[in-house]
Amino acid sequence: MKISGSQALMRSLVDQGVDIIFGYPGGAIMPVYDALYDYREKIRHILVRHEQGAVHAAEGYARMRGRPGVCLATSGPGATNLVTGIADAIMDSVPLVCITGQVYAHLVGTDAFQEADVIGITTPISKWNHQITQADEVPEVIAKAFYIAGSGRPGPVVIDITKNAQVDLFDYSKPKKVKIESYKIPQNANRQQIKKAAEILNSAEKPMIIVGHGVQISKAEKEIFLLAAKSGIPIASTLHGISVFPTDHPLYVGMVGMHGKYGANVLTNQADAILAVGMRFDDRVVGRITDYAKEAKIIHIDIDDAELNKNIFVDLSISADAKKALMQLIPLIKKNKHEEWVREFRRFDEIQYEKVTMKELNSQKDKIKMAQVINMLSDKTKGQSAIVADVGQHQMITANYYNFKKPNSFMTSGGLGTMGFALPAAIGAKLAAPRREVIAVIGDGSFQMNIQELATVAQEHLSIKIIILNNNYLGMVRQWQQLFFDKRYSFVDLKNPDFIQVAKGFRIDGEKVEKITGLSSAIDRLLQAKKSYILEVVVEKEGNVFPMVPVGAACDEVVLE
Amino acid sequence: MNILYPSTITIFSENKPGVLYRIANLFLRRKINIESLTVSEIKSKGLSRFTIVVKEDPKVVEKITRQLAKIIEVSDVYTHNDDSLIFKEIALIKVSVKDQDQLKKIESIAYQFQAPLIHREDSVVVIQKSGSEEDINFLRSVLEKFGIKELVRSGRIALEKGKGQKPKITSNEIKNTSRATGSIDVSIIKKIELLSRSHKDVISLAQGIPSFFTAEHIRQAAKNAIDSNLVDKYTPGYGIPELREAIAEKVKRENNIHARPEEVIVTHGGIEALMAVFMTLLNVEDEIIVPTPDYASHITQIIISTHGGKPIFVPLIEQNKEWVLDVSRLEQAVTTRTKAILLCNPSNPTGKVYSKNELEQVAKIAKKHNLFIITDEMYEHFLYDGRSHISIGSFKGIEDRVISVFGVSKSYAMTGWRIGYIVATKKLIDQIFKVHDSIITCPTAVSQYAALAAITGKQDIVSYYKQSFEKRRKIVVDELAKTNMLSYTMPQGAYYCFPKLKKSVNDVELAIRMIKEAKVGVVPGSPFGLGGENHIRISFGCEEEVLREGLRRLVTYLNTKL
Repeated sequence: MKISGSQALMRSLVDQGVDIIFGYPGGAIMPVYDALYDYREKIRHILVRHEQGAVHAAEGYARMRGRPGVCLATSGPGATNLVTGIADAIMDSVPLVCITGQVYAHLVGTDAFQEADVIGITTPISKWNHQITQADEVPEVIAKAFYIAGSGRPGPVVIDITKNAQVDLFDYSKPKKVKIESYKIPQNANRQQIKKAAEILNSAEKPMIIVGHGVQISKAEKEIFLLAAKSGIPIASTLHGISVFPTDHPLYVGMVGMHGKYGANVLTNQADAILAVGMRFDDRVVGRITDYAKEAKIIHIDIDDAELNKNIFVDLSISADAKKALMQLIPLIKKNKHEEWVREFRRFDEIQYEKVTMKELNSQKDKIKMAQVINMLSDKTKGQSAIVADVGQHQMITANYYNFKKPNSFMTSGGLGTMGFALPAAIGAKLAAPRREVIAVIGDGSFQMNIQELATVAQEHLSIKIIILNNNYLGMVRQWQQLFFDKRYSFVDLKNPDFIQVAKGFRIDGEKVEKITGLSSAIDRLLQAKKSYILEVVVEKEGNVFPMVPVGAACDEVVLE
Repeated sequence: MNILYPSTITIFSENKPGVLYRIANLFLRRKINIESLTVSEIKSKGLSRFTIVVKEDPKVVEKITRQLAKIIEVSDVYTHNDDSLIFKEIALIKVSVKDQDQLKKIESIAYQFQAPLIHREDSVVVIQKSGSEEDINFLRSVLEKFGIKELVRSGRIALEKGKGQKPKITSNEIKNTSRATGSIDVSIIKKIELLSRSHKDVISLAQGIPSFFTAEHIRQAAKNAIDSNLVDKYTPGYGIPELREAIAEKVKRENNIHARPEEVIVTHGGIEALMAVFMTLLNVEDEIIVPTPDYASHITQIIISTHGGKPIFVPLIEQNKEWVLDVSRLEQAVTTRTKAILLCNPSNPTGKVYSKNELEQVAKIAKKHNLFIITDEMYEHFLYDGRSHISIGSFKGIEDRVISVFGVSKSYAMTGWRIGYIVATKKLIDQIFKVHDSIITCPTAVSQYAALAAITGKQDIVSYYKQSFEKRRKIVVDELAKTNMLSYTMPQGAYYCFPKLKKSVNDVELAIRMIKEAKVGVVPGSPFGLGGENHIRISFGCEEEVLREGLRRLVTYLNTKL
């Protein structure tokens, strides 16, 4: 039977198990929306208010569910509005299938109305992209898109479908299993390399494991747990590795990187062996490269071959799936304890507590500090909520003060650092896991970048808890201006709207708290609300995030105040 | 700054739209300039092969290689340095031509570079050159003086040496030999000889070996030297004093060269002598002029000595049954880079003997342009029709710029003993000795005593050999008269005849075919340089009966099969 390209697209999406699409209609995607109307029982469409909202929501969905998020946009501006989110997804290895409408094939290249070279624009920021110009391409290309997006190191795929391909009829048949000769995904690790890795770790006196996003993506949290238990090796994490390992575990030593834990950063440079799993030695993690982990033999496990020896040269690079490699490694690891070595981390923790944490958690006068909010939130939720952080000071405070105890509970824009990420991502995360408490922690600057998505929250009757940490500044930029630009506060001062009034305009309840005395009960109301709720917390205006490894410093050159 | 060597990246990908964009984009993002890029579909349908040349830090190249491998459509990426590759590119060069004279010059340059003229009009010709980037640049620089109208290059295409693309890690692989040696084929003469031997019942008229055994008194001298314990240790690197004295005597007596014994080096045959001379004189950028056709080994020796440079060929003119030196063309070939003129006299393969006048002209040019003259006078004793040999080293006023090379191989039927010698001024000898010493330390002791006996002993064997060769020459002439397929210039010296095929054929293919089909081996003319094409070289060093039968086969083949 002949069906249209759009109908074939719907069948393909259902075949891929898609239950939610985030999108925004427009001229060149209308045939697809028309087909979607017939599928509204099977596929829920979330009508966002801006395509950037759609793509971040799809990211939130994908990260929570561990499968590709789907977004739909029209040609031209619809497609270009996706660009930031696509770039965000490639940086943070988020599987997406972004479907964009395109003008008729015969008009492509003529500067037709709402035409943009989507393939050209998205090539450098997508894992793969393809323009469908004939209806009969749809089934195979969509199958391929999902396979590529979700496998190996996940990433965004862009499928641009010309209008004629959406409307033309063809004989549909189910596509065969996708097989791409040129696309190879590392699976098991080389046995000799694993043996070597075990030797290095077994003989090390000051070993350390750094877990990254890859551990979460390959669902290897259990393996990390077992490895830690058996080897006694302390576990540090990257920003995206947060929540992979319970923060209250005696071997957890915290986040590494620019605003990471004092001990984890300093002792990186004293470790004699580092096992890095599913992370990529980002410049925010390593600091001054020439002085990074000089004492350590570094073992790097990553599924993306191009990451191996990219940022730093390692002693042993293992191209493999993290879970599989860890399963191979664990039996070769000797049971061991590194009590004295772990105690060294704790000694640094004490210093950090004294010099930073204690001050952050005890406000002067009546003012509220960001850390107090997050710390209280952590206590009240017992570290069980799914936290979506935006980008800025509040993000780093959340990473440091929320005591995650459940895997897959922290989500933020790490690689690209996209302000405006959290609200739409929280929408996606909530839709992916309706039973989880999803809390978005957002700065006043970030909140206004995708504030329009409050309408989506209201329209879809979602229950999302939003905490705005409002210091009426672009706080992180201000902190840098204070520390590195002579306190010349150049255009960071925000005269904000009344967020609660704005929320009310969107038909969302909320309240504002300015004094420490009111904080606890305000958080309680936030958590107890059945519907979405906004808590605006006015925080100390010029609070800074410490510890900090300044740009250009080595990772053990930590500034505490 | 570090010198960056080219890295060649080979990419296999699906042959689909947009792959080039994805690849190019990676280079753009990392600000890596692409020196050249070629793409084509390969044997397995649906796959493309990209060859990209970049000059970058190897670490950066390795990173981009991994990034390239990440592109979904890309299946394999390999990176190589030049040593592990066979690579070429093609250039089409459009050159202005003003007149016939210029056309002739361009043709000769094109020939030297083995670059065919693929198109000609009144005012321009198009030359097609395939080779390495350096080869093409070299040709371009030579052609620049004529005015290059247009030049287009294909970009590099490359294959990995050995079985094919292997894993990227090449660090344990054995390094390659020099570019110069890599570019040289084993001498065609040797190849034909090998081929002759591998085919049963083939008569070889290919290699220039006299049929005679070394004379008894020479062998006896060698035996005596062995028995007197004279040959067990190194001799002086220059050769034993007695032999150097004998040689000084000999060149005075026969060649009219007044050299002291200190101005003689005894060598391991003429070939080592020449190699040592070339290596002493030539820098990489230097040019050496060689009248052609000329002994193919001279050409390869020059290429090696100049690390891949090429001799400048000046073709002899074959007219009125004689090979004549084109003196004006010789002088035109001189550039600021010219270092020397090489003269093989009597000439292998043409059998030409340079006239006194020609030698005087060469001497004049050498003096005028401050050039060395290097000789190869291996066949000095085999001149026919009453001619006598003139050594250019005997000319007054150029003594300090002539390096004369002789040997006992041909004159005394001693090719296996490997003794030759260099005669030049002390100043040059001192320099040449450094190379000579580095190559062989000293000539074979026993052979030196044999050579001493040969040079100081009775000389009637030499004239006997000469008469024999002259008779054999007659046989060649008689036999060749039986075919219309060849025309020839009567050899004046040496023991080679170098006839021309009247039909235009590929002489190398013909030589190979003749071995297989006619059971006779001759050397094709092309390897002897410009003017050698369409010729074959017949050696009449072999015995009369063998020679006759070989020629009969040759003639029959040419008459019936060509």
